[in-house]
Amino acid sequence: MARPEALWRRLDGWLFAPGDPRLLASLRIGLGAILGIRMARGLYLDLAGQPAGLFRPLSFMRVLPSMPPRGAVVALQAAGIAAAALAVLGVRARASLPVAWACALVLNGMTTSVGKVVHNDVLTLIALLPLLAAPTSDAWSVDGFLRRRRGLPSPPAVSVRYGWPVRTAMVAVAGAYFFIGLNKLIYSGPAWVTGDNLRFVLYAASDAQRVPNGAGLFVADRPLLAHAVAAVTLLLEVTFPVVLFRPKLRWLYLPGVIALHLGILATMHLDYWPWIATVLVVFVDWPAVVDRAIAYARARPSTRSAPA
Amino acid sequence: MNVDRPASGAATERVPTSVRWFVAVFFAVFVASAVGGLNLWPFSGWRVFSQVRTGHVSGWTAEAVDAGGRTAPVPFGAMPRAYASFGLLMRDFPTLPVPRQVAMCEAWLDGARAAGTPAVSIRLVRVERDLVPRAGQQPARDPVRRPVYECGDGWIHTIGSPRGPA
Repeated sequence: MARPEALWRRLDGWLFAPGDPRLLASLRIGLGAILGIRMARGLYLDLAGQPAGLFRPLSFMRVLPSMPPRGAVVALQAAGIAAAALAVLGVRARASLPVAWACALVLNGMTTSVGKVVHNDVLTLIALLPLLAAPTSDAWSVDGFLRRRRGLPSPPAVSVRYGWPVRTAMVAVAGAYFFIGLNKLIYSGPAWVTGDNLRFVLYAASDAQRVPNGAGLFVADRPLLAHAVAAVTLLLEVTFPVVLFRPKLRWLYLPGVIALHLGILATMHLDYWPWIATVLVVFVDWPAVVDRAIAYARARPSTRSAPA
Repeated sequence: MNVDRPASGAATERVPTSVRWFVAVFFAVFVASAVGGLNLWPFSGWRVFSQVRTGHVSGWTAEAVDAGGRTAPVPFGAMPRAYASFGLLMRDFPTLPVPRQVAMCEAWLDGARAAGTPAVSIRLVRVERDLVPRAGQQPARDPVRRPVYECGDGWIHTIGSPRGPA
């Protein structure tokens, strides 16, 4: 009994460890920007004109009889984009980020109410959810700047309140990849790799396009390559959570999943850039990147002025 | 959700109970959706390309029938994106009650007319194809097309089996 308890304590200690407010702020800025950019798409207005007979609501969208009318969609987009911009700047982020998230939830609820669960924006929405209850604008924000100008006490450099939202978002992103891989094993087993599954997926995707997809057909026409790509994909997905406890492995896994999504874009024309962006926002140590950039910028003039 | 923060700093900070509950509920819903098949979107079952595909695929296409009985493909590409879900919606079309089938069909018919196609009815055609063998970049064999439904303003007729010949 002592072992599970010790393991639980270690997990608890990791999840709720103190964190850097700048790291939390980097998630607010990055994920808020992704949300704002996605809400600017014209797709939502196109769907607003959909006849009620074609509406296939999922989840909370079932409370609606049809897609929201154009006026409501315009209002949601305007409010959502404005709130996302304020959240990115760190203006009243305790309110602006939840407003942006709620608008994006309804707008993307529309895209997933067409007969199929659409996953393109799900990872961003879920990674943002823990931040809605967190003090995300204590650093790198207009809120923080105004606080300093008013002479109010500075927030702590490290606190437990900044740690858990970041690590909860990390677990959610890693968990998404893990369950995607696990479901392949549960519903298909080894045949997902050893059979012709990936070849058929790529052939079907190419045949559905007006112009055959050369990249997809290149892989599909080579069974060994298709098996290798399938094996690497499955391995990457199922083992992705190791990045939570071995940060150095992010140098392997982040390029890996970026290549995976770019490969899907090239071979199937499925655009998952919000997943790439979300993974980079959540798993890159942006304060360290900024610190290095500042150190580099400060070092350059002194190098130039140094005597020969 | 405020954190009780003693003066001694982060090392002695306590995580508030409300935060622990928030995180616990978040992970509970996340895992229940993933393994329990609950579709609490945006939480997901994460079933992305999880089913093994075979070399035989079936789908649907729609033909507009004009007053002279001539047919032409319904121009979904020229219609607003609200109509682009045709292939997805047809997956469960055979199992839907007739009034819903009629409502969907009328929507496609109106969309086709608005896109400039003179149609009095829509024919829903089952398309079956083998992905292999290939002839260059395309399947070697032509797809098998089988009209299953024809529908117009307020009516629908079944003219073939959705499952194909026995």
